[in-house]
Amino acid sequence: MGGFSELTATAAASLIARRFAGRRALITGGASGIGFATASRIIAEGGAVAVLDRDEAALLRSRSALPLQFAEPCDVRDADALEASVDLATHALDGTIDLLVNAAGIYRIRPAVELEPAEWDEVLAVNLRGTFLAARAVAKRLIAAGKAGAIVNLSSIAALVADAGEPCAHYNASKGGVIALTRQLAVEWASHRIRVNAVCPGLIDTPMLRVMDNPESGTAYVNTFVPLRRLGYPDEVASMIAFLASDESAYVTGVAIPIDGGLTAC
Amino acid sequence: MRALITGGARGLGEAIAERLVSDGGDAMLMDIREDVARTAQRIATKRPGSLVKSVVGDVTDERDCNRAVTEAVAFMGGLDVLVNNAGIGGPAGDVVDYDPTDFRHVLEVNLVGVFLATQMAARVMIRQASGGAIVNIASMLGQRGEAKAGAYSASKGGVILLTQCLALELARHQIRVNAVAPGHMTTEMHWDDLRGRATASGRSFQDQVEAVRASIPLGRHGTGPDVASAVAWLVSKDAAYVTGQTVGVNGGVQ
Repeated sequence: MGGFSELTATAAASLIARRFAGRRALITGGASGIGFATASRIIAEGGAVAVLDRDEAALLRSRSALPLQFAEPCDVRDADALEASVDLATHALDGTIDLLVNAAGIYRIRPAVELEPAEWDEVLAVNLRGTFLAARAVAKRLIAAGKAGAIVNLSSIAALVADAGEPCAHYNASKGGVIALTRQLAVEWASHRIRVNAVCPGLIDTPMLRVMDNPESGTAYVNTFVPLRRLGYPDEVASMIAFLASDESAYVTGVAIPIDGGLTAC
Repeated sequence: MRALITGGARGLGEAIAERLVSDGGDAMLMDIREDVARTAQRIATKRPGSLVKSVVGDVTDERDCNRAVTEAVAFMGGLDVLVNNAGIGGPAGDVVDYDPTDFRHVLEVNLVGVFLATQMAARVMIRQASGGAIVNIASMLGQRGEAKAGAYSASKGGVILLTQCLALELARHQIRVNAVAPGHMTTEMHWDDLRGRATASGRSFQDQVEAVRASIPLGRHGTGPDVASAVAWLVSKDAAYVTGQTVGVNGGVQ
């Protein structure tokens, strides 16, 4: 009993232990949730990590929890601030950023008829413009240096399926945009050996998750709509991001992979 | 991890088996080709102490699938992973001129074969009650059709949808089912296809290879190890929350 998971865990651990030795990663939104789990995973596998986040309290916590090379506040909507932060992070990482994980994102629920243009703009600015600006900043430097790299963007199953229960047209549109952006950047930068992929998390146990605010109805929802009948964990999304950021996926670019316990297979 | 890999004699199946064994797994290689025995012997040398064996069989024959699964369980003491890799390209040609026998044969090997092997293997996994992982090798052409590839595209599109259905049905048994969709690979299947297209178009084989390469954003054909690393990830604990998905390994071809 249980032989499967134990054996594969052992095999995986022995195999992937050092995929990021000598690699330098920048993670936006890296101070909490999936971004933080990804920082933790990359460091565990020998990588050096710089983190940008808007949340200064979370930055403080992440600095004491992980040996980060750099952890500073930054608003990814602000192109000039982002460029400056990327320069500082590059310096802290000894001159190169090989990997970028765009985990900065916000989630807002609002029925479309009540959705104010300013709310639309804010969500699009963080989730889509921020992803583009960070990708551009890192790719520009990689291309100038003639170095290969990998970028992983956080999309969502909200880009693939609608949800009547949590109306958020602006969020869904931003995450759909992330997939289209991912494909285009993958094709534009393939000749520079920069791979660009996206992950589409489903219901993941993070502060962003709303469905479990009411534990009873939340559990019923998960049991009904998630074939694996449980929430996913940030570590599990981090393991997919790590796969896409590593050389294990050297021939994978321009894809968006759901990680959702089977939700979008329905 | 105890794996059964169909179409394991050469190409992607061979690379997948080699990777899983190198990672610490045991493997049963099934193939219609008798030289699968030699492949198994070679792969066994990749990791001392590994259990690697072969069985000759046809995935379109349920008795052969049953025998392969039975022998795999007897040899390795159980079955945790099935990789449905056996497949054929079939002749390239316009659907209006296509030989119905060829069309049926492509569907039979690429789609019915996946159904049969999965049915036998999943029954064992359910009985073991320790979960499992199934990976189906689909194709980029199962995600988007292409002229002169009607049978192959239809068969691989079917594999992607069968993957989703199986994922939903088997989730309650903690058996995850996913697919990998390779692009243009350095396999005999792809070279055969290009030879056929070269003959049909009057251009040289080398020209065909170059034309394909030029269409791939990453600028190279994919290799067995490229696909094997995706399979290794999907069957590992790292993909514990991933089921019903199709992962493209195609160098950026849209």
